[in-house]
This record gives sequence, C-alpha cells and structure tokens, in this order.
Amino acid sequence: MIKVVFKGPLRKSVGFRDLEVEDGDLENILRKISEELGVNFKIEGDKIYMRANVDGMVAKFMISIFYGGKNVITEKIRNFEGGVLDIITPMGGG
Amino acid sequence: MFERHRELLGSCFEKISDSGILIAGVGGLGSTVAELSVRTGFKNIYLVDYKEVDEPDLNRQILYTKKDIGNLKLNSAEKRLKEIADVNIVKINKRIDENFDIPDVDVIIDCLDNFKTRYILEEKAFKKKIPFVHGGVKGYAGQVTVVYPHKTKRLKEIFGEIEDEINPPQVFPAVVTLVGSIQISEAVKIICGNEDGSLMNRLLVVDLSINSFDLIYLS
Repeated sequence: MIKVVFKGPLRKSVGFRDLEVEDGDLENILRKISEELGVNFKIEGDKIYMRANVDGMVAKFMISIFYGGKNVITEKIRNFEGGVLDIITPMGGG
Repeated sequence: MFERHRELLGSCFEKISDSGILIAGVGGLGSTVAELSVRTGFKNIYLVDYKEVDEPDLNRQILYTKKDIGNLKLNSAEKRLKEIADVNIVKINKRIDENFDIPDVDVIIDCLDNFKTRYILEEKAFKKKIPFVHGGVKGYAGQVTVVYPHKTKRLKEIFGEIEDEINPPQVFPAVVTLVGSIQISEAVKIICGNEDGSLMNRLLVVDLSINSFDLIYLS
C-alpha cells in the first residue's frame, strides 16, 4: 500500500485527509485518489493538474508529485510499491 | 550594530561580511531578504530588478512606502538599505533572460515571481556553481529549498514543468516575510557551511492558514 499525503494548501482542499491506496502505476493511483477524495486529476504532457472543491468553488491546482522524494514526472517513475506519495502545488509568486 | 548576534554567529559572521549575495527580484520576498541581509551583516549586495514601485506592492514589499510609488525599486531599495547600515549595493536594472550575466557572488536568492525566469537563472547559477536559495509564495502558503550544484537536484528536476499564472496571485503579507526570512537564514547556512542543517535536498512547504510546516526529503 502507498500512503498519499497532501501538503501545504492542498491539505485543506482534500479535507485534511491522508489515505492509502494499492500499489500500481500513476494513472491507477490518481484514479483511486479521485474516487476516495472526490478530486479530479488531469495529466497533460509533463504537467499534472488537480481540481478540487474548495469552499464551495472548484479550484484548479498545478501539482508536483513526489515518490520517495523524487518527482514522478521528471524522474519518469512508472510503478509504485509501498512508501509515501507527497503531493504539493508549487507556488510561483515572489 | 551587530552586537546582538555577532557572538551567536561566531566566525561565520566574518564570512557573511566578506560574501557577495545576489537578490533576484526586489519585490515581496526580495524586500524582506534585502533588509535582513543588511541587518544580518552582508556587506556586498547585488540587487536585480527592473520595475517601479506600484501601490499594490505596499502590502508586502516592506522596503517601500507611499513616497516610493513610481520610483525604480532599485533606487528606493538602495536608499532604504543604506539608511540601515553602510553596505555596498550593486544595482542591476535588467530583466533576467538568456542574456543575463551573473556577477561573481557566493549565493543567489531567488525572489522572482515566475518559474520561467527562475529556471533561466538557476541554469546560469548551475553553470557558475553558485548555490541558489529558492522561495515562492501564493495565498497563505509558500515553499523554500536550496539548490546546490552537484549536491542537490536542479530546480526543474524538483518541480518539473510549471505553467505560470497570468494574473498576479493573492498573497498574505505575513507569508511573504516568513518565506523571505527563511531564505536569508538558508543563505547564512550555505555561507557558513552548515549544509546538514540547511534545506539542501529538502523542500519546506508552509501554509499559515493551517499552521502547517512540512518537509519533503528529496532524493
């Protein structure tokens, strides 16, 4: 099983819930998270977006996903067995 | 003026004084970083910006007041910083792009407002083997990490492809000063060789709306 942890502003968007999902590939894991938390993910090329209901409004986040401290896209991680998946939304303002 | 922390920093204080620091962007994060760099004891400070002070900047850009509206940020920042202490300020009135030349400094603080420019600057920092302290903010939240050539992942390896927002995001003033404060603290650690205590290979994500401070251990 993989522990899924949302960090920063995303925690609120998923109702402060962490969850565990079965091992698998990224698409399957994101689908399971969507089913559990009622959020939607979309992978467009090298970018991943998440839509969630925040305070009654749909919010769209660009996200980065880390598995064992590695970005799953830039490190081209295909399969996930155990461990922790950290999900954040990078903040670009200065 | 440094009696209250010179002893705390020990021999590191002289290293800070002798170092060159480049602050990329003198907006929200850059204001806090610049002011704290002077108060910490940095003497050689390079500021990069090309914009003028605008009224909406004043909620978080603590170097500026109403009197500065319409002035070049570099000029107002220099005036303010030199009122605090005797420092050498090098003003670089340029937009950071592929043609930007990084001066010889010991650390770069990323106070920029978009990932596109961050990736350009970090690429240049990597080629010159200069540590790069990244910070970013939005809403009540922000993140900080230290990119150290050949010792950590590159910035783009950490975050991947990022689509910058078209409109400036809402941002809570307190999170800007918080993230800027952490950035200058990280710069001090890098200058002083405290790599184990730094955010090298760690990504700090903070959210003041829920008081969360999370570390992701990068590998």
